Amino acid sequence: MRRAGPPADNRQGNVRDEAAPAHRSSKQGREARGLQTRDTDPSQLTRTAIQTEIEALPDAGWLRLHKVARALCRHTGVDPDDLLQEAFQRALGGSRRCPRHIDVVAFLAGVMRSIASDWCKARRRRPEVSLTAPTGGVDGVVVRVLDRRPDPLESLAGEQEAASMHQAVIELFADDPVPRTLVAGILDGLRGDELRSLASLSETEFASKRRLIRRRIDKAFPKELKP
Amino acid sequence: MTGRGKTGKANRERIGLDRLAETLVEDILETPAADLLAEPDDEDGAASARAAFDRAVAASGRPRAATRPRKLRPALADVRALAPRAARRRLREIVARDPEGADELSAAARAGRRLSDEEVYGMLERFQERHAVERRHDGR
Repeated sequence: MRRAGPPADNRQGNVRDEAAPAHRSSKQGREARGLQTRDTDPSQLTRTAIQTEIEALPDAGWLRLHKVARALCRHTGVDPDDLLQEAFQRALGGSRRCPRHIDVVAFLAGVMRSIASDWCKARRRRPEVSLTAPTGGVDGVVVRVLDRRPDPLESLAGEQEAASMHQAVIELFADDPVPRTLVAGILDGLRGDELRSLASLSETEFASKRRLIRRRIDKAFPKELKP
Repeated sequence: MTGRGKTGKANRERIGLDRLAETLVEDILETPAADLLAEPDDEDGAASARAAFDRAVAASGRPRAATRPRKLRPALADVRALAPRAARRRLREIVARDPEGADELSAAARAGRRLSDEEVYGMLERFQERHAVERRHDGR
């Protein structure tokens, strides 16, 4: 599967906070601080501290991270282990910093969401650029840009794939009207209270149905969302 | 339907699938640890995540905290001198580096029960005995 989804919108409050603290809003500002000073911000975990926190995660923490990676990759064609490794590397390398008030698992989930979104966008849009020098000389260098835009047949395949994944998820809940209504609402963009009221559920009932939905999707589509 | 209309529909469907993934992530983050560990996990996700972390550590060139001198395991006689929380932390460190041990611990966790303090101390002792045997065999 080669299709990719659009960027995640980071609506979840605890994760959104880590992605865009006020002092990190400027790329220029980030670069100006440099590697030696970045670890001195007391509101964020140092690279050593986040490494220690990750290493001390209990089994459930590791499992939670892997499940998040799988959930984010199921419909995108990205490998969950690659996504996890990249998120860890960015945290360890300091390019993504964890605020102290954010749970490290929630922080890494946000990093994975951001990376998955970037990778999918890059796969869809970025042309492949290469430098070639057919004559062997520097003056003869030619920039070759491979047009990665999908041709009409690829577009059609992508549209069909998205549609069939949609259909497969809906059909998974054909026998249970409440989860089916919820899934249809989620796919149509409903969230929170709007989604709960669609099926007239209390918060507890909604959480229970949401878990049922996740477990059934996990079981039916352990790796990829394919009909 | 025009080509643009079809593409727009496909984009909406992809956005819908992204939203579904978001909803699943929210649930994963809110599921209690015991419930999460009790779910079927054919892939051994915890071990896969640890392996990804080990690769990231290797790629970043940073040393594993668990291998620093201050984290060296105590002598066998000292294991039971550790406070229960420290013993659990030590066990987690060892299990993270020992897949065989991880299997044993994961089996207990999957059975839905928390290890007792005695079991933690017992596992630490077994790990250390095995480590001592391996050292003798290696001539270290």
